[in-house]
Amino acid sequence: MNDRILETKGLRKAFGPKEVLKGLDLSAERGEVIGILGRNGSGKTTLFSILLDLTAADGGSAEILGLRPDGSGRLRGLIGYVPEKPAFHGFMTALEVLEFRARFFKRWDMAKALDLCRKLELDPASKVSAMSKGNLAKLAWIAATAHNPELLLLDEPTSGLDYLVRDHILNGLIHELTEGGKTIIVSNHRMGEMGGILDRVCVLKDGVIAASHGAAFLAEEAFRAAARLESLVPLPAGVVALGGGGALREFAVFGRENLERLKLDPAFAGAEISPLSLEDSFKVLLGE
Amino acid sequence: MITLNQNSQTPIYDQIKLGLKGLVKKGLLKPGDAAPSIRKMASDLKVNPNTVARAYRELTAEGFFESLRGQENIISPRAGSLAEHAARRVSESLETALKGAMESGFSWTEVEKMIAALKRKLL
Amino acid sequence: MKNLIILQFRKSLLPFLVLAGAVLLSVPAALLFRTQSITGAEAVNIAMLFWALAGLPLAIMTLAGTAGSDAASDAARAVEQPLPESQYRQVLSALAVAAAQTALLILAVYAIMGFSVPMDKLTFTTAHVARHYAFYAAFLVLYSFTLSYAFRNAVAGGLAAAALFVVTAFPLLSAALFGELLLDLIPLAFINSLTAVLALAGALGALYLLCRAYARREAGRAAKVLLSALLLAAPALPPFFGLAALRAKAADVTWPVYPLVLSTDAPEAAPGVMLAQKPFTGEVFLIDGEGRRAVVFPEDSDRGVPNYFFPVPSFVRGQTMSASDGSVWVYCNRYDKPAVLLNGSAAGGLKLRAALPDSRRAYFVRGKVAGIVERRKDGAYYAPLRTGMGPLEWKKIGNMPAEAARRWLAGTGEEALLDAFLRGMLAGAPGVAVVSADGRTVTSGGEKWTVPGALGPKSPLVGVRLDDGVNYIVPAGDSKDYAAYLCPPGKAARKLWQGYFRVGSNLWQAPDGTLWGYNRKLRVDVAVKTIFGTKKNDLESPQFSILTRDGRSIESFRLDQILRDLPGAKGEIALVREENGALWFTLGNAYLVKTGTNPHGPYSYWKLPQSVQEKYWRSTLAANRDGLLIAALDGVHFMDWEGRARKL
Repeated sequence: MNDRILETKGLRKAFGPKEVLKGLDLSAERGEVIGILGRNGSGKTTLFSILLDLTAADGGSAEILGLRPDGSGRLRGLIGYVPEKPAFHGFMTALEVLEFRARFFKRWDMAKALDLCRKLELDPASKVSAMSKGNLAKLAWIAATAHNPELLLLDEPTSGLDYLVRDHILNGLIHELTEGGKTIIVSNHRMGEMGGILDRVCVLKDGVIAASHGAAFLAEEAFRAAARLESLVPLPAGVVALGGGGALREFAVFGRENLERLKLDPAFAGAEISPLSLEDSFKVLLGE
Repeated sequence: MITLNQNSQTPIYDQIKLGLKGLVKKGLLKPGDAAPSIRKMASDLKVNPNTVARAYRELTAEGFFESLRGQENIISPRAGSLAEHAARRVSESLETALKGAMESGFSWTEVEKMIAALKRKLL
Repeated sequence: MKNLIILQFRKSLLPFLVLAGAVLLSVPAALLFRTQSITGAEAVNIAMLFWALAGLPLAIMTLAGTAGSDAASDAARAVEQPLPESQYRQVLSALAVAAAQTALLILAVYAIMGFSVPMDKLTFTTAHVARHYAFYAAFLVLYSFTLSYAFRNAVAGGLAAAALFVVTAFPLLSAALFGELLLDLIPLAFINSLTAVLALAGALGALYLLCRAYARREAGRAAKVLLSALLLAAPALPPFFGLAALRAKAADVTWPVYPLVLSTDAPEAAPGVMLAQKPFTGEVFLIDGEGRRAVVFPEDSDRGVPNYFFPVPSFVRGQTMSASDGSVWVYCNRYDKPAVLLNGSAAGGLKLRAALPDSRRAYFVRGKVAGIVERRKDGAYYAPLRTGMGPLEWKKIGNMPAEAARRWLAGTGEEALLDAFLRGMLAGAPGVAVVSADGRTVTSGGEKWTVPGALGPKSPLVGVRLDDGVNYIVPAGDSKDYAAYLCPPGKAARKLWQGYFRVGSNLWQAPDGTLWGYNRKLRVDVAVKTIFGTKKNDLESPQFSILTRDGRSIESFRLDQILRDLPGAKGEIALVREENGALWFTLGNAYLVKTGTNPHGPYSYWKLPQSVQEKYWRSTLAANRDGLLIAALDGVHFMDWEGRARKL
């Protein structure tokens, strides 16, 4: 069994004159939970679309679960996909949607689907056209996981949902992870709420993966340093300026080694060190 | 039951271990009780089950957990004594350090200031 | 894919049921609202025909159009594309459903009509549409769907599909009608098949490319869209070029010019030349065996736009006659132009001698001086045809009471006055003999023959020129038995053949002077081998009587064996030449045959270039001494006596 579930090399996509992906490299091992961090319009959905064999890349290669996106749709049968705006046929009930999907996915587990309905408090008889955003999200989640795919692609799975539904989704995610063997790639605006679940965070910026950090690294080894600088100095490695007016400056420091080096740097003598929250780390990475 | 500090420099799995040990020390978990399942712990804390699994593995290795009657992750009888043991060790180290400080001529206030500074440094 | 099809059916169930319901409801509506003059069944048929020609096309455009625009919609993209089925197959499933629904509606209408179409009640156009309905309906479904998908809009797609449909179907229709009504000039079956294949492949191919460009958002979108447009436009090309080819070929179609009136005493057509017309261009010309031609009417410069789509032939009537100085008189009458009388030759050109604007009919007549008779509104006029450039001297042929004149103008009733005049003219002409009132003597010029029981005292007999001079064939006999007597110059009359023969009626002279005719046709059995086995046909085989120039007579000559060997030649059989015992015959417009005097002996035959096949199987050939002029589908050909043919 191949442990490299997903690998893209140099993925490029442009829509007319606008280049969205400019040589994107991404890889995922089996069992990894990867968060894609990116601003609105940075190309996350395009990336997912290419991985799902819905959009043809202009250049580069992608291999997912041992298959290449070739337009046949086979890949979509092996991936569990929760789109940003889930949509289903309005005239169907939740149960009909699930039964319809069951005919397309070989490994569909109807018992699991119905069990999830019960756990997530989704009435199978409710009509799609009458469903709230939260219920649609639940249905999308069930549809994506009921066929036990090895790879889950989640595009903003909790955005716009109330606390309780969000909780359901995250619990469902954790449940899938507990079963074992699932690889998850998720893009989320509020990446902070998933900080404990992620293994890795990849920053999608300017059409490429600009940075990739372990989640534990960002949680444990991100610091905020406030220092008084007499003059402008070049920033050592792992140090990012955060702002501040005049002589008093704030910096983010990534990595314990870089922090020790900073403390010993005479330019930064007397700096106040405090930990950098995960949310703030993400903001720094995005803005960098 | 356990709260995690996402911003702490302590890895999450360490925080879980400490949290469980704290519960036993407070007597909320007694030897023979089953620890919460990995799934439940992960769901409650909103963390990766692997992280919980790692914490539990290390606790088992340390002797904090044992397997009994086919069930895993049961608080072992030694858990309580392990916790007490750890607490006693910390207490002894502190006593040694404070004694040294006072013998060196530091007043309590100065010692407290130093503790505060260390707290900022370490946390 | 089956599941997608079921889904698509469910999605479009409502509009489909509405349409099906409308079709079914029109049956009681037709029965309720019919007028008293038509039966219930006829009313239902009319309602169904209305559906077939107007309602169903709109229904198709609606069903296929909405299916196409839905497939391209954002909603479809969001809901259906994440399914593990290729995007192209998803689009195809929507198309398949639209096609199936169309087929069901058509089937319903056809079933209500009782599974038969009343072809006899339809015009040519609608009958053609009915015969090719499946193709036209499939075209409309495919194109409405594909174009609605392309434009993401059912209305725009439907209108574009209708436009392409008209562009493709109209030339096809024209060409088909032309073929059915007139001539088979182009391989219509091939063009139809090619168009159908291109339409199917084009729509599916365009759909595939558009799917890749729009749904998968592949690079090179503009190129794909352009290619799709080309694929969709391609099926219009075969009909267009087919129609252009048809027009080009029609312009070449040549046909002889036939006289309006054929009387047995009419002068022979000028030898060696053919008066030919191109019905689809309006050109009329005189052509000889060398290919030299002189124009009678030039080509029409402009036949109008409708003529572009449906070439309409126009036919002229005319006649030729040779003048004493060797030139040719040509009379030609076109319905929308003044009739003309010309004189000249094929080599030297024709000069207009008179325009005859007022005439309804005119024709050449024999006489001391050959002349032309013209029927005008106010009576018949005669003018002698003399060489030279002066105007014709018209003379009115007697006066008639108004009543007789009216009947005579209309062509009915007695034409005694004109007949008497013509007979008088004929009697005075050279080479004409007159039978005495008592039927015993035949006189011509200074010669006199005794023929017992000669017939036709009132009708002068036209002589034939053989090697020894002008001879006369005189029919004689009583009610029981007829005979033909030969009256040679300077010799006594002798019985030639059994049976009734009269020059101009059933006795003719070939260009080389050989006299031939027949008054009996016998039936011959022919076994025709077809792929289904042998079939028995019977043919008519004339019994020829032949008199050569040098006086040899063959009383009974039949071509039974040749007719058995060369079946399918329709039309008359004519002798065109005799030389040293070899006889040349033309079989209809199909073959030239050369045989010896032994009809069961060896023979040669040559197939003639194909001519227009028309109802009466008139001859499209004109023989002269050197060979045959043939007015064929692609122009005038000349074939010599050994079968070597060339186009002139």
